[in-house]
Amino acid sequence: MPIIDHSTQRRVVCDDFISERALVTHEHGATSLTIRELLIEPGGSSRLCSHPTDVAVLVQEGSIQMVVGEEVQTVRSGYTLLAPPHVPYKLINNTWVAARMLVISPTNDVQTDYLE
Amino acid sequence: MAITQTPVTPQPQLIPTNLGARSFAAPPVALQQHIVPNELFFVRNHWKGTPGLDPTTYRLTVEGEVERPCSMSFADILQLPRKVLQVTFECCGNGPVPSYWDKQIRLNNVEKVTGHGIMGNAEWAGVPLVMLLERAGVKASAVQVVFTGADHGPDEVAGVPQEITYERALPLAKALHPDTLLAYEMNGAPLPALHGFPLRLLVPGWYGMTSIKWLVGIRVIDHVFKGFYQTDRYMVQNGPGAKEFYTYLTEMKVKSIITNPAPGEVIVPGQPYRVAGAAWSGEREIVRVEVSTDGGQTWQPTQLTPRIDYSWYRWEYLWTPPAAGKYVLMSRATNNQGETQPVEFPNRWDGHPYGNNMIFPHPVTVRAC
Repeated sequence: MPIIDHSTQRRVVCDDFISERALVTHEHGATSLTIRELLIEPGGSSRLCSHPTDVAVLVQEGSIQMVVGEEVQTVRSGYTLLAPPHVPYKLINNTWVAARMLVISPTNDVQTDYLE
Repeated sequence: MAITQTPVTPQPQLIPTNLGARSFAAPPVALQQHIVPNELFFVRNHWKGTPGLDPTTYRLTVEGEVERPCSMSFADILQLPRKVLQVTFECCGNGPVPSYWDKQIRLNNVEKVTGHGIMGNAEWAGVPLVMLLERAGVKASAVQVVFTGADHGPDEVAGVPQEITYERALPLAKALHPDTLLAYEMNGAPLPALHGFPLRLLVPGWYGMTSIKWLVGIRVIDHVFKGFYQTDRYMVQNGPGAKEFYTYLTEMKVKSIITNPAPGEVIVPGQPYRVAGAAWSGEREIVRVEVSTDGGQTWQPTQLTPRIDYSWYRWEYLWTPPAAGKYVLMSRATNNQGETQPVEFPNRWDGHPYGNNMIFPHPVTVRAC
């Protein structure tokens, strides 16, 4: 049984506002699941993108504005957002504090189409 | 097609601040404007939803220590002389608590996501409360005036009492102040449901919990009110040796915030940048706001724009960052009584965020684009 120690997972800095670390991937033994922890500082936003699978974004700390298709919603920790397959989505932190999220995909081969 | 309809840069929205969707903070961009628009004005309610009062059947009762108790319809109230005032107020829990007190906050299972966002400034229209009280004829025995909202439920923190109505009182002098309003308009629009439609109390200069929403009752009493939200909430613990165990919050303390740069905003070295913000001190005047760009080691005066009625003061300071790097900006306001913001978090005895008016550090990154 793979046991993944979060503290040993390397955090990758994506840009000045965003960093992430992989918590569950095929490298950990997963065959149909990927979980990434995403941290977006105030002022930061992810690129508009879509995936061929569902993507669940579980907000763990702070608040985040999420664009999914034509909908825009700001939620805080304790809520989960769902981006359906092929629907563009984007995460924007225009709040006061950093937002920490778990991004969960039902595949071990996450394909991403960037739209901006 | 979905791709072209996706808003890449959506408008900022209110930030939900607790589970249960009853309170929302303004995003940083909202406080960069002198008037905060209704859709971005903070919401701090004790229970989810709104009472849903119907203006056609609405009644406001005035009773107690008065010569002529009465009940007025919303139409009756709209017929009374109207007053328009700009008023800034904040929730008394507004402002981040420094990290050395985070433990206390987390123990209470309250996550602080609000920044400075549970405050705002708006233009309010309504009827001076004193007009209704004079019509009713306040007796000489009057001591305080109790205001009753239509909102009720179990206490949001402890769940006890199981059923409580939101009520608070004002001293008679403040109730009779000509600028204490019964407001029915906010920024030129009917009072939004989340802000107390059709009528709310508005107490200029005082913390927001005093300005009762969905106002349905006014009761003049001949004693000091001891209701739950008057005596069990909105106070901070005093230190050892103090005459009273608690200080109950009423008038807003002297305070200032930095609104520009917004959190996360990057500034370019060698180029002038307009650092800006707001300052207020209850009913008192702000005489000075200073800014530090070196974490409080040195302070420079800012340019202060006078307030309108009871609005916040806006201030600005032109800063040219000398080089790339991390800086800590700070602002410090002083009122006409010589009171200024404390360097340290003021509530060291209970760690509660209420009335926190400390000098807040405002980290900023300076780098070439």
